[in-house]
Amino acid sequence: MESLGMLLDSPMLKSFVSWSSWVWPVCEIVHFVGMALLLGAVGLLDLRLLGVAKGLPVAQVQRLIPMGVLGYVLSVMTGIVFVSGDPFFPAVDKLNNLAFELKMLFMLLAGLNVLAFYLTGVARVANALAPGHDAPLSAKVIAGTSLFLWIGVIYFGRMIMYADVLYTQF
Amino acid sequence: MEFLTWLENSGLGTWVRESPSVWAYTGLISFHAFGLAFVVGLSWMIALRVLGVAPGLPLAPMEKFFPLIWFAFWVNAASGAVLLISNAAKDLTNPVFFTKIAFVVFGVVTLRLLKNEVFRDPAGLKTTAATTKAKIVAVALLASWAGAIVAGRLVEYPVLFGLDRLR
Repeated sequence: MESLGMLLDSPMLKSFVSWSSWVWPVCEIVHFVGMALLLGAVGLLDLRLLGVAKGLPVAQVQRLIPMGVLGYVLSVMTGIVFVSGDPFFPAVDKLNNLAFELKMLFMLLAGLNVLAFYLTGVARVANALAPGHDAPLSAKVIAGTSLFLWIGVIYFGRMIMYADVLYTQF
Repeated sequence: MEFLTWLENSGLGTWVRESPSVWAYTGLISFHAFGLAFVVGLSWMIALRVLGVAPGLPLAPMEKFFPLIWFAFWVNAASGAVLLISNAAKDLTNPVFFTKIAFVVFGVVTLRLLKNEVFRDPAGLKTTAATTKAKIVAVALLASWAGAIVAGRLVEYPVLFGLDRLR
């Protein structure tokens, strides 16, 4: 774990963060903007699959996903700054942080969920849904899982700073 | 000022700050983050659609998302109010906090304006292109919630504005 942590430390990013006291808060702001874009786009698709706003054709809802991907990229980029570019804490501290570990796990599961959506053919069935039609159960399970996992990512992300409390909460 | 300190030290304020309960500080900030994701995320998606992203997406059915957006807003208003009580003396003497609230007010106003402009006229909804006024409101909405996010984060960094945080 120690050597993985050392691999993740980036002197370049640490000096970037140290360059101005504005860098870290601006990265946090961009991180939240990315989160809003991601949850907005993915959340809207998940909600449609779960039956909200059935008048929307699913294939057209998917056209908002690139905004969600943009949000995801912004969040990952700033997330890397937080892990590798923190001048006060080495990356290994995050690796040993239960909330961070669970956040990464939930992100991994969310990624697998997305793969399942596309690789099992559920996406194809969903895209063919005309307005007014309900999505099949498989799509609803994937959509519900997606919402649960991304909300979990937000929760564990918030708890990174309070990880010691996490141990007492469940 | 004494009133603010009294608020902070009230039973509720103290409990929020010191209890390890999942409903106290950590739970409240978590719910505040969930609410933020849905209010800003969903309203941004509607605003982006009005501005021409995913133009094949019909506008009318998107009205169905408003109840959820308002529900998420009230989750944030409630969690925000309780968080404010527990931190009253610091927040209510911080101009950045008032800036955040101003942006939130703009966000709510632009959201209502957008709803009325885009969804009130059923004949207007038959076209998939939004009116110019709707597009202006959509840009204002994007900016308002962006401002709320920016100010919301900067509340915790008063030093950046030369504000003395030592009391």
